[in-house]
Amino acid sequence: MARLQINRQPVDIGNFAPHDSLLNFLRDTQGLTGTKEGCGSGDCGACTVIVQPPADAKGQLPAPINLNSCITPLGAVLDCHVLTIEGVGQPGNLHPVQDAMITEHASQCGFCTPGFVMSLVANQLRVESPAALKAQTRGNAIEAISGNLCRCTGYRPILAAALASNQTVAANPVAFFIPEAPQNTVAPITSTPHQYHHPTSLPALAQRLKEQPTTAATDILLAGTTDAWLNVTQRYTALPSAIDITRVPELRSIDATDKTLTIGAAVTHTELLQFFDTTTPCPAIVAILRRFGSPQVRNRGTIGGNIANASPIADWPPLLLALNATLNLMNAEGVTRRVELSDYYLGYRQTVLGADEFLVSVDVPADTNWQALIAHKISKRIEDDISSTMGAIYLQQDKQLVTTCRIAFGGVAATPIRLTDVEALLLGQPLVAANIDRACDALGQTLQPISDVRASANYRRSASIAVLRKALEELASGDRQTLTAGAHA
Amino acid sequence: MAEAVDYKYIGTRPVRPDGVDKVTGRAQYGADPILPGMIHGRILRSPHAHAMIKSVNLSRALELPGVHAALSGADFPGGIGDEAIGGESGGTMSDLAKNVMARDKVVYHGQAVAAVAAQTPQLALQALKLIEVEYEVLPVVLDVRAAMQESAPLLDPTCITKGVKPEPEKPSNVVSVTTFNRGDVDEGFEQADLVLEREYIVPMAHQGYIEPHGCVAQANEGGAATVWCSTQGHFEFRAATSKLLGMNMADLKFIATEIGGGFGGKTVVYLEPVALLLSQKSGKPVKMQMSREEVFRATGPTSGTYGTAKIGVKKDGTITAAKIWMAFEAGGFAGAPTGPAAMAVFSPYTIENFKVETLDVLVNKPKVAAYRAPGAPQSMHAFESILDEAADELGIDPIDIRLTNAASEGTTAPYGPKFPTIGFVECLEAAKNHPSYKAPVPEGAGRGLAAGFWFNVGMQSSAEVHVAENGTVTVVEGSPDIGGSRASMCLMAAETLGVEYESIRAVVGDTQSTGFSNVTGGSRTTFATGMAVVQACEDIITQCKSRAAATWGVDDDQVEWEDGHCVPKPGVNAEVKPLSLADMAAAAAKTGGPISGRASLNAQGAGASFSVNFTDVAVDPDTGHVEVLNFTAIQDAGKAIHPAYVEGQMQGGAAQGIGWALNEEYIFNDDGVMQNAGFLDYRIPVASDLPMIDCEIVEVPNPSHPYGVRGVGETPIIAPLAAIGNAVAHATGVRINELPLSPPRIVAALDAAHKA
Ligand SMILES: Cc1cc2nc3c(=O)[nH]c(=O)nc-3n(C[C@H](O)[C@H](O)[C@H](O)COP(=O)(O)OP(=O)(O)OC[C@H]3O[C@@H](n4cnc5c(N)ncnc54)[C@H](O)[C@@H]3O)c2cc1C
Ligand code: FES
Ligand code: FES
Repeated sequence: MARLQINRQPVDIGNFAPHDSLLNFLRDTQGLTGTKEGCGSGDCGACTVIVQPPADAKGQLPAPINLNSCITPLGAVLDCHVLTIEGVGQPGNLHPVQDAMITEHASQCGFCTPGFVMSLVANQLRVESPAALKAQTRGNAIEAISGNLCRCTGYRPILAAALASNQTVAANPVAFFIPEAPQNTVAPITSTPHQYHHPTSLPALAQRLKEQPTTAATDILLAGTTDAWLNVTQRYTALPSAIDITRVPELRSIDATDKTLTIGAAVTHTELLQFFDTTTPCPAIVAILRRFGSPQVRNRGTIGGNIANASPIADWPPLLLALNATLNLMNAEGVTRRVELSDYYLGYRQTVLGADEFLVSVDVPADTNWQALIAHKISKRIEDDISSTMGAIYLQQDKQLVTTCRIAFGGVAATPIRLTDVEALLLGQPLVAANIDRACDALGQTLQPISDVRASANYRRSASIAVLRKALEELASGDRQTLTAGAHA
Repeated sequence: MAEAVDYKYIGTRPVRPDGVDKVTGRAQYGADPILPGMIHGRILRSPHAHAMIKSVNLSRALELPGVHAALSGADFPGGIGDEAIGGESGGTMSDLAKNVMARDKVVYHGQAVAAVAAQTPQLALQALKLIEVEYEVLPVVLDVRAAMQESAPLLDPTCITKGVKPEPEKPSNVVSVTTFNRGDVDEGFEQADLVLEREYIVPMAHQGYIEPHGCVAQANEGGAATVWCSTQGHFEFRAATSKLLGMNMADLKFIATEIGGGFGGKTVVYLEPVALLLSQKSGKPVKMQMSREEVFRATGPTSGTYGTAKIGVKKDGTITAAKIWMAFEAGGFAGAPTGPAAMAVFSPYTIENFKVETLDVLVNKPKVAAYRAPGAPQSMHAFESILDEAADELGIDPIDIRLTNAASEGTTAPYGPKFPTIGFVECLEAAKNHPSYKAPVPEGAGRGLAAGFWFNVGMQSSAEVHVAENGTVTVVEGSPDIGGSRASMCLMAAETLGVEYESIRAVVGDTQSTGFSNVTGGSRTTFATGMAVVQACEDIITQCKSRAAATWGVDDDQVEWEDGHCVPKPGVNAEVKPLSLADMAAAAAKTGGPISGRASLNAQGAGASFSVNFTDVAVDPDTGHVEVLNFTAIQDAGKAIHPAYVEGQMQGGAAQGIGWALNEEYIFNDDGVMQNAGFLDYRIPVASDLPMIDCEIVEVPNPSHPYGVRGVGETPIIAPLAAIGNAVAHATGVRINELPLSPPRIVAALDAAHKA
């Protein structure tokens, strides 16, 4: 029974376990060894493939995405069309990206090459028009390959290949649009014996959870798996069963009412990047999301996973704390409740989420002034990196006095935190140098950051102060700057 | 001697013959072969950085259904002798054997202790959990300074320091001391107008090839075996495996698959003997593949170092004396690159009084392996930094101070011989005239410059060249192609034979199909294997000439080879048409059979390669982030056979050097457990971390190579360390002599300077 398509061919998956990864299936079972494993943890991009998901509940075909097959469960691509390097082009019929990789000498040892080809092809598929593709800059190309590591070339010839092949494809776009919708030969999910479940409604999800013999929902609930799969690949954890929430329509939508903007838990970072870039512009969120992981990670990772994973260094929680967000939770009985995000985190990797509870959506007040948010992320590398510290400040002024102020930080305590003491110092005050100094001093006193391989406690403290200072100075002068560990996001 | 001549093929940039395979995913790497009935091997690794192994019990693992074989160190029949291995990574066979599989002791966290082979990789991992190992944990020593203390725990209680007189009576962790001296340093320092002395620290860093180690081994019933592996030298892998397993070398066939980067790190066996022994025990082909974590924890990075440098300089910039003392982390077994580090450090300069001392020190970290110009980045970082500081103090341009002291033809190298023609002065002048050096330093930024040097090596290579019946040519050589060397071999063959590049293909033969060749390392392949290919082509030309002579009824010496044809010598009376290689091939049956040439050699006269790098960086004082605004790499290639691949080496090496200077480092906890064993926290540069790296190839031909080639692969990683450091010093006004210049270190240094 064909359950997915690979390189235009229907493929019978046969027996598989919920913890089987797409990469191992491609390499070991299908013999498609062109897809490489360089790290098994989403960091190098050697395993990148392109996936065309099936049409959603409304019959719409989502955009094709590139993803890291090493941290993607095989079950996640059921009913999808997977395109690997072998399906992009073969000798005599090379894709322009492949051709350019050869002529620009962009492949030295060549091990990274398939992954780069996939990311560059995916970039071309994402661009809305040939004109836009033609106009892409070196900056676009850098972003497109920010999830791919090459140790041999220094990237220069790869970027040259990116730009050269963009021109070829822009000149003849139809010829190179590769992924097709998966064929409609797919059997209904309920009749299959495997334990990888794709509920397609909220009640079905709750019901499925109820039937699972497990202690905590977060053990078997899977969204983009960019966090969860590290347990599987790095610690070789076996999953007896899995509930994939990415096809639950209620979790996949962004809805605006007059009271709230509601973001479904399974909305991806890529989708949010687009939303906050165009639909509801918010420069601060866009800047952070551009540097969130890599395209491969953003295409799969979800806002709900970012919150539920409860890492103290996750990027969304500080933003959402500053935005005064509220979480909508549901349990296996279908009972819902609302929790302020500021009440959600209890301690290191501990939250109020009940054992049978899951995250449905995040509410942000509808009257949010999206321009009033400022956020800065400090990490060692500009892209494809985790924050050492990250600060978000939502601040409004009236008649030169601060009327609203919410300051949140990640990476400086066991959980993402609001800094109400510091906020109190600013509320009702003018944003003048003395007050900014006071706030920064207070921040330095309050923070008890962690020391780890990414940064020392002292560095986190001083970088956090720098973040707050720059943000407040920007707000005081009305002059937006960028402070990222990289000077330009 | 090779002249700077115009060549027809050499110096062009054709696409590589393996290009299509690489972009379509058809190229096979170490972990790609799939054999019928193949099972999967995995290694159990030590959870302790220093411990005695009391016992290893495999029986529960072997009972698990689906497990086909298990082994520990005791199962290896051979290898525990004392002979040296030779090659790029020093050490003894006995150390190598223990590094492949521990015997009675583990000396670093992650060292291999046992292995299993099972139906699936998952099952193999499950089986590992059933192996019982009893350890007696010993105290750990991680820092070279601590390791040299008398009270330090000893990794090898039999280790008596070599290279010091009188020979020490007590064992210590110092394996050896390498010393080079010239003149009288104390006198030299007295002549100086300025004397500086500083400490320098460089962290342990990994080659970071994207392909983890991988291989497939198949033992046949008759005792023969085939191993497919990702290696820089399949002949050396064969030799090591035959010794460790006590096998007849003639029974072993090693096939070098495509290799996904090595940079020196794939000159050492880790998996191959284990996979083959598992295959022998199970009777099935065994695939083994390391995880990225295993690569970091248990394959050779390069040494971290602690050292001091001292320099004496006159007001005019003349170096009167220089002194380096540097302790290298060997890891758990001897073999830090102390020799080359000491030999390289002063090589760019004429210095009358110097002393350099390098120490090979055991610490409970992974055993180091070669990494691009082993040892030179660490030692030259120290000297290129202190020289720069001296130039600052004296108000001399960094290029000028180097020109004042530059080595040139006839200079006696610190390690003995006189330099033949070398291109250091040419590189410095190219830097001086470079538009990026003439351009002003961007506002708020700092510029840094440094030089690099690497000897390059020759060593043994073999090549056979076969002419097919239609005149197309196959080159068979024994050097695994990492960076495009097959294309360079084709170019040299095309040039020598005078036939089209397109009609030539080069293949890397397995150990049974071509003659012995040393590893692809030491920047030797284009030089030495290239020389063998050229000589094999010349062998063909000689044969063709004599066949043409016979055909035409003239003497052999009356025939010449011109532009791919046999022609009669001027004045020879022969009414004949020139014969092309294709003509000769078509008539081969009548003139003596197929045309093949061969050459095997031990190449002498590898030409030293010098480099000069400069860069502008901006430093954010609040976050400590360094942005590399531009980077220019200038290097003498002798002759660039395929300039795109020379640039590829220069850019790739620069990127590695920049990564090491700014972010890459091994971080251990007090128990000797590496804390950042993954690409997320061991940060190698992504595209946005790097500027477009500019290259300028200088060509001062190497007189010892038919086309003037010098090796180019290793020199590029050296200069970036000090160039970046010097640039950061100029951008911030603070000299930070410990790498990497990561954001936290910069913020801390600026804070400290601010407070002082
Ligand atoms: C290379 C790489 C780079 C990264 N870079 C960044 C970065 O820059 N910034 C950053 O913040 N993070 C980063 N991450 C971490 C990760 O990508 C994000 O945290 C991501 O948002 C997680 O979402 P997911 O959908 O993949 O979650 P999953 O991995 O699917 O799930 C994570 C956990 O949350 C639980 N969970 C998921 N959804 C729900 C729900 N609706 N209700 C209850 N529980 C749920 C799961 O059960 C699991 O325990 C990176 C990861 C990688 C591999
Ligand atoms: S193998 Fe490195 S990202 Fe998947
Ligand atoms: S070409 Fe070797 S890793 Fe990119």
